[in-house]
Amino acid sequence: MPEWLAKTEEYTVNAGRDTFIDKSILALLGVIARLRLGGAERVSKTDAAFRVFFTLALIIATALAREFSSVFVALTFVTIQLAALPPRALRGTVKFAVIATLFAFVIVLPAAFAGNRYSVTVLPAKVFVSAAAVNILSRAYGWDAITGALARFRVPDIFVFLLDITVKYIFTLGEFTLQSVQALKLRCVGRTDRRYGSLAGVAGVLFLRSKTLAEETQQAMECRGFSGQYPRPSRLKFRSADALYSAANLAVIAVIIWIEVTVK
Amino acid sequence: MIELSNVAYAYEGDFTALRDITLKIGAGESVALLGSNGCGKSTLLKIICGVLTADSGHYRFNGDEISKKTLADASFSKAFHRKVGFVFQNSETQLFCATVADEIAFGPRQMGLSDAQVAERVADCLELLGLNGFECRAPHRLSGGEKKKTAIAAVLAMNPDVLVLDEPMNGLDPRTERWLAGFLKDLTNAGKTVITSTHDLELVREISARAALFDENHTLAADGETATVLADVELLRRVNLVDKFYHKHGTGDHTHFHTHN
Repeated sequence: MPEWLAKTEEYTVNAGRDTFIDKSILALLGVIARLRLGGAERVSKTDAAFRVFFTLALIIATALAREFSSVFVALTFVTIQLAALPPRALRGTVKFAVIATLFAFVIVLPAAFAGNRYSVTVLPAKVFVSAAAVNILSRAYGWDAITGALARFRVPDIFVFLLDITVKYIFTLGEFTLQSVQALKLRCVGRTDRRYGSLAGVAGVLFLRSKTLAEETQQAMECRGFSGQYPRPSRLKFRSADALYSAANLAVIAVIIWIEVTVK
Repeated sequence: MIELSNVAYAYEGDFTALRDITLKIGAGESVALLGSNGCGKSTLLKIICGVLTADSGHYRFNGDEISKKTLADASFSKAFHRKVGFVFQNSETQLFCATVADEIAFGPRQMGLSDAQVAERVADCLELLGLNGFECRAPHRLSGGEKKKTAIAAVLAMNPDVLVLDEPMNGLDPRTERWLAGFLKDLTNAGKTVITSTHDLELVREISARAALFDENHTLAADGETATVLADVELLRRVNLVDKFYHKHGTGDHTHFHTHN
């Protein structure tokens, strides 16, 4: 045992802040928590297939709408859905939607100086509707339920498989990266210029890890006789909550279409 | 040295990992955390080394409170992390430098040691862990056992007072397991505090004088001398660490599926 290792060491810290590392840890924790919680926040009693279909329909109807009153109807409908969310899901969804809306507002702001007030009001409102609707959907179900719903819509197997495996890898590699960044933080006990080089090292290790995982998954799939088919059998049950949800969505989309057709 | 009182932790506020854990570990002790998968051993180790902070309860290290607030102070946090070294269960996650030598030198360089001191520590750690000849190898090209040794060397190079190892025997061949058990014993004899989590009931007697046993409710079911804790087979069964086939022959424990006729 070397002499220095047997001694208790007095060490004066020459501290530098690790803001970037801390922020990376927080961001990764957020992503992993969202994936781990997938479905745990369950804010919907409706079948995922209806949610996926009508969320997509509402986004398309809102995107195609030209009248502000149509967008206002969609906005009202999404706001009612937001009001029904539990507090934690509501906070997260509103935060996400507001950030996206502000971003859109900043992008279209120059149009206001050119006299195009329509774009400045309508486009951010459309972004809010889309962002909030997608976020409500993602909080209502785990990713497996959403990809299962896509499979029901006859989306090609390979697409559903890729989506499933991508979500799985975001979680797996996210956990791996989190541990690497935490390990880096634990060993950053002073101040050196090599810290950011180490972050590049973490990225390199992550790349190698993802390559190994991908190769092993491919080998495992071959061993299990993967032939490109990825069936996700599930039976669609039409319950009263589904009927109510579908009726409300159909009514909103019908009103939007009516406004677009009749108002000139 | 380490005082945990009524510590609780839940992931994302929903998934309970620890409930009401009270544990004191003195300087120079060797303690093994035992328990079945998912009982909270790794979470406790992460709290001990400051990767996670307790949702409730208190953690004091050498009398200093370890909390989100105190760890937000960069000087305090870095001094604390220097004193408590952590070896992750998956060593691969903590190796991010281009070569084994760089990996070992990372900590001492952070501490601002001179080039000569850094070189001395790298050479000593390579020698100590049997990694001579590997200094220029890329860590990702090493075998599982060599990665584990490199991870331990990288942490030891900072000369921590406490060495925390999460499932150190995982993925090692029997020879490397035996070597690591002996090495951890040597570290304890040299005055280091060694805290490990493990399932290996054979090796735990060798590496730790004291064992803390977790149950599946994420609480501490027993804490005492390793031999005493392991002798209570009924308790080991109750916490789901062993099955009904687990039994002793003289001083050795083992499990098998045939009867002795």
